[in-house]
Amino acid sequence: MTSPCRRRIALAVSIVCSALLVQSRLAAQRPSPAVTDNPRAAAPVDLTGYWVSVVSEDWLQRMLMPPRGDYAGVPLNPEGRRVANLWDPDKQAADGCRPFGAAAVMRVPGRLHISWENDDTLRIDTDAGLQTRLLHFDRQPATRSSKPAFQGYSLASWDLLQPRGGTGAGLAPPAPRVGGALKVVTTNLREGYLRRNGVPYSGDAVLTEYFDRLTEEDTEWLTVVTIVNDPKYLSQEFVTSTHFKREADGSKWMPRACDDPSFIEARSTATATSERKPASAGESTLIGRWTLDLFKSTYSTNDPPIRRTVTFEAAGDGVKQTTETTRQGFNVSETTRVEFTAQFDGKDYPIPNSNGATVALKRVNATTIERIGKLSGKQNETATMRLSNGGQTLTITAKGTATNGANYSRTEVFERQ
Amino acid sequence: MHRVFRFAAAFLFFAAVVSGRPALAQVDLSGEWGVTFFEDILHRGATLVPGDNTGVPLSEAGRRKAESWDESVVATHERQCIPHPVTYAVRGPGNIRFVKIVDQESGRLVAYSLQGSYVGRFRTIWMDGRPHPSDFAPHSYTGFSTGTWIRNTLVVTTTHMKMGYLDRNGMPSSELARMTEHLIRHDDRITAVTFIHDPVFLSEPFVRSTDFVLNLTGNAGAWGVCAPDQIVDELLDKPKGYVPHHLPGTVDPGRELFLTSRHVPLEAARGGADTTYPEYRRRLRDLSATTASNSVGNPEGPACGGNRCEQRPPAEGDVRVEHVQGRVHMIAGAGGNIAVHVGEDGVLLVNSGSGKVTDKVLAAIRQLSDKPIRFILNTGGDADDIGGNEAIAKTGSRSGGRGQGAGAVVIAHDGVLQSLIGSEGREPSVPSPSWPTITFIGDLKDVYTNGEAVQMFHQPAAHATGDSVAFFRASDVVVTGEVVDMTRYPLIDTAQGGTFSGVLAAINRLIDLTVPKDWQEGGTLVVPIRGRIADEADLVEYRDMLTIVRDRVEDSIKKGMTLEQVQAARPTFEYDGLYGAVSGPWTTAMFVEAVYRDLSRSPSASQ
Repeated sequence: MTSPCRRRIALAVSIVCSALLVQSRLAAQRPSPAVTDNPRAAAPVDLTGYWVSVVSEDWLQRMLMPPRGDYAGVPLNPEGRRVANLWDPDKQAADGCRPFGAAAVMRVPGRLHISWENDDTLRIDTDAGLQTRLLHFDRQPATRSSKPAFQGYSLASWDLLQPRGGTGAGLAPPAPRVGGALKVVTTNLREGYLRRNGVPYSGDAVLTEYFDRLTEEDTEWLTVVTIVNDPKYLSQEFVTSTHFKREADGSKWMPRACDDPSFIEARSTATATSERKPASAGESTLIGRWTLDLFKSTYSTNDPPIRRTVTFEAAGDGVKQTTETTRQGFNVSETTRVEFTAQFDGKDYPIPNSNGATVALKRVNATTIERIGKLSGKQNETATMRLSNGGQTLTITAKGTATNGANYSRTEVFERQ
Repeated sequence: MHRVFRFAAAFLFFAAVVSGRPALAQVDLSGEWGVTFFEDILHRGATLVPGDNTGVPLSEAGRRKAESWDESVVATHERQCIPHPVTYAVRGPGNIRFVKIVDQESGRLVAYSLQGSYVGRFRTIWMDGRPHPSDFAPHSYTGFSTGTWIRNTLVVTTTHMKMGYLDRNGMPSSELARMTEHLIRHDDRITAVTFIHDPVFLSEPFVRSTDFVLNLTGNAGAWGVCAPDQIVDELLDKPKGYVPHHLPGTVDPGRELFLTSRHVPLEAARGGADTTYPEYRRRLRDLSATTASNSVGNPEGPACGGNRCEQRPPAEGDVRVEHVQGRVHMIAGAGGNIAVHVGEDGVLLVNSGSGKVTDKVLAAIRQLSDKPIRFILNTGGDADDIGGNEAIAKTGSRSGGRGQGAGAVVIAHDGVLQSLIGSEGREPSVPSPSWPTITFIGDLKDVYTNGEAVQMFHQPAAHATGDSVAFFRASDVVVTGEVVDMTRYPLIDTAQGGTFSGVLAAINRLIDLTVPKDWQEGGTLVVPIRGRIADEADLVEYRDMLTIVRDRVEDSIKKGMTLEQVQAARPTFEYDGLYGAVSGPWTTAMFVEAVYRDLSRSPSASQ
C-alpha cells in the first residue's frame, strides 16, 4: 500500500472518530430528566394529588383485624414470632400509632395526599391515622432528626437507571438515563407493627420504597413497593407492593387519628358476631363439628394454628374425636389430622399412628369432660372440655409438656357448626 | 482524485453523525428472577378455600360462577392438564426467566420469552409491533402478548385468553378478558403490576402485583409437558359428561369454615369492587358474620349477568378469512361460519352462509384456491347455514367417481331435506335449488378429497333432526354446525325435532372426537357455527355451562317450579354475559324455555 493511501485511510478513520466524538457531545447536550439540582423541577413524574388505596391483596389482614398469630407471609424470625404472639387483642387501644409507622402505613386502607412541602421535600399525608411523611431529597443533611419516630427519616431520590460501560460495537452514543420512580430510604424508625395484630418491626429496620405512577387506560395509579429489612425480627427482607388510584380532589378525605376507636371496631364486631349466634336449648352434647375461633383463643407457644376443627361422633358409649389442624409456615401450610375413639371411663385408649400416645376421657358433669393424654404411659397433657352458651360454645383448656420438654398451655374456643 | 476523496470523507462524517442513533432508552428484563412470596399469602398459598373472594372486584356474575365451582372439577378428564392460566400464573411460588429473542441480522429485540411459574407453555411477549390476532383466532391459556416500553416499565397487553381463573378457588376470568401488565424494573427487582379487565366477571379492573428479585444462582422452573397420555381416571363412578358443581342454595363446606374461623361477613367474602375501598370498613362494622347460603331465587344484577349484553357475531358482510389448520380455513361474517377445505382436487365447503353476501364469500374462496368447488356439506338446514347453497353450487362442478357435470354436490343428512321440504300442505321453507343433492339416512357419510378423509356424523335430535358434524381427519378439524355457538346459547329448533339433551349429547360426542396436543390446548381444532375457532378446552367450557344449566333447571323442575319461575330464577345468570341475549332471534328466555320443556318430558342426559 502506498504511503498516500495509508494517509487517506488514517484520515478516514480519524474523520469517523471525530464524527462520533461530535455526536456524543451533541448527545450529551440533549435534555436529561435530571439536569437540574432542584428535585421538584427535576421530577420525572408527578406524584402529587389525592390517591385512594385499592385493597385487592391481603384483604383479610388489612380490612379486618387479623387474629393474634396471623403473620402468614411475613418472614419473621423466632424472636419476631415470639413478640408477635405476645400481642394482646384486648389491649389494642394501647397500641397507639404502632400500626401506622412508615413500614406499614402504606398498607393501611385509606387515602394519601402527596404534595411538595418545598422544592426539596415531598410530603405524604394519610387520612387513616393522620400520619405525615416527609421525604427529603437531602440537599441539607444536617436537618436529620436524631429522635426515632414512627415515620423515621426518609431520604428521597429520583430513580433513574444509569448506562454503564462502553457504547457498544455500534459506536452509538450512550442511552439517556431512564426511569421515573421515586426511591425512598427510611431509617431512624420507632418500633411499630407490620400488621395491626402486633407483627413487629424494630427500630433497627431500614425501609426502602419505590413509588411508580402508572397509566392504565384512563386511570392513573400509584404503586408503592415496600422493602423492610429488620435484623431484629425478620429472617429476610419483607416485600409488598401497594396500589392507589388517583382521585380528582380531596372530597373523600376521611381524617381519623391513629387512636380513633373505629380502628379496633372491626375486631370487636367480629367477636360480637358469634356471641350473637342464637343458642338452641338442649344441645349440651359434644357431638357435632366445632370450628376454632382464632380471636378468642390463646396460646403460650409461638405456633398457633390458623385453622382447626374438631368433630365428635358417637361411638357406642364413647366418642370418636377427629381433629384437623392447619398451621401456616412462612410460605406453606400443613394440615394434620388426629383421630381417636374413647369411652368416658377414664381408661387409656390408643391414638393411632402416634408413637404410643393414649387418651383417657372422664365426664365431670353434664357440660364438662376431663381429658388426660399420655405418651409411653407417662402423663403429658391435662385438658378440660367445657360446653357453654347453650351448647354452642366449646372451650378446651389444656396444659402439658411437649416432646422437647417445653411446657405449654392453651385455651381454645370453638363454635358449633 | 483528491476532490473525490474529500467528498467521500465529508460523506463519511455526515453519515456517522446522522446514523449513530443513541441506544434505545429502555431497561432490560432478561435473566433469572426469584419470586418473593410474601404478599397475599392466604390467597396464593395452600390455605386458599372456595368462598374466599376477598379483595376481588367480582361482578355478580363472577360471584355466582365462583360459588358454583366445585374443586373436584379439576379431576375430570378434560381438566387435568389445564395449566395455570396467564391471569394467575405469576402468583405461584415459581421463579421465572426472561429471555431476549433478537433478530440476528439487525440485533433488534423481537420478543421476550417468559418462562416458568407453572404456566404450561412459554409465554412470548412480542416487541416488534405486530398486531394482535383477529377476533376469530383460537385462544390459549397464555394468550397473545405484545409489549412496549414506557420509562422503566415494560407494558404488556395480553388478549386471546381462554376461560380461566384469577385464583385457584374458582374465581373466574372469561375469554373476553384483557390483561395489562406493567413490569417495572428497579435496581435488581421487578414488580409486575397486573390489571385484568373482564367485562363479564369483574365490575372494575382487578389490580395486584408480584415482586421478583434478580436471582444470580437460581433457575426458573415449573414447566414441562402434560399430554393426554398422562391423564388418569379419577371419577370412575360418574356418568359420561359429569360436571361437578354446587347448585344454587348449596355451599362449599370450605366456605363455612372460612367464614366462621376468620369472622368474615358473607357479603365481604363474596368480593366486589366496593369491598376494596377504605369506605367499606364502615360497612364491615355494620355487617355480621353470617353463613347464609347463596341463593339465586331473586338474583340481582345486570340483565345479561355480566356487564356485556350484546352478541358478538361479526356484522353480516364483514367477511373475514382465518386459517384453521392443515387444509381448512374459516370464512366468518356471511351468516354461519363456513369451513373451506382446499387442495388439488378442488374446494369442499362445510355450509354456505346465509346467501346474502355470496359474492364476498366466493371472492374469499378464490383467495384460497382457484380450483373448482366440488362439494358443499350442510351440517343443518338453517337459513344461516345453507342460504348460499344455490349460488355457490352453481359456480362449481362435480367430477370423478360422482360423474362429470355442472354444479357442486350438496350433501346433508336426510333430516335436513325433510325439514326443508316441509310437511304436507305447507310450503317449503327454502326453495328447492338450495336443497341438498345427496342425502344420507344412517349415522355416517364419508367423502375423500384433496388426499383427506372427511366424515359427516349425524347427531340425532340435536339442534334439529338432521344435524351433522364434519370431521377432517388429516387436518384434524371438526366443524360443529349449530350445536356449538361461541357467541350465544345453542339454538334449539324444537319445531324441527331439536332437543336440549340432543345438543348436549352432540357436544359430548365432539369432545370424544377432539384430542388436545398438550396442556389441554391445540390438537384438534373446532369451527363453531358462529364465533372464533376453538379447541377441546373451549368445548368443555361450553359443555360444562350447558350441563350446569341443565342440572339447575332439572333441580327446579323437581321442586315443582313453573317455567316462569325458572326463568325468573335465571339459571344461566353468570353465563349471560358470554352467551345471553335479551332480544333478537334467540334470547336467553327462549333457550331456558327449550331446556325446561325438554327436561320436563324426559330424564336428563346424565341419567
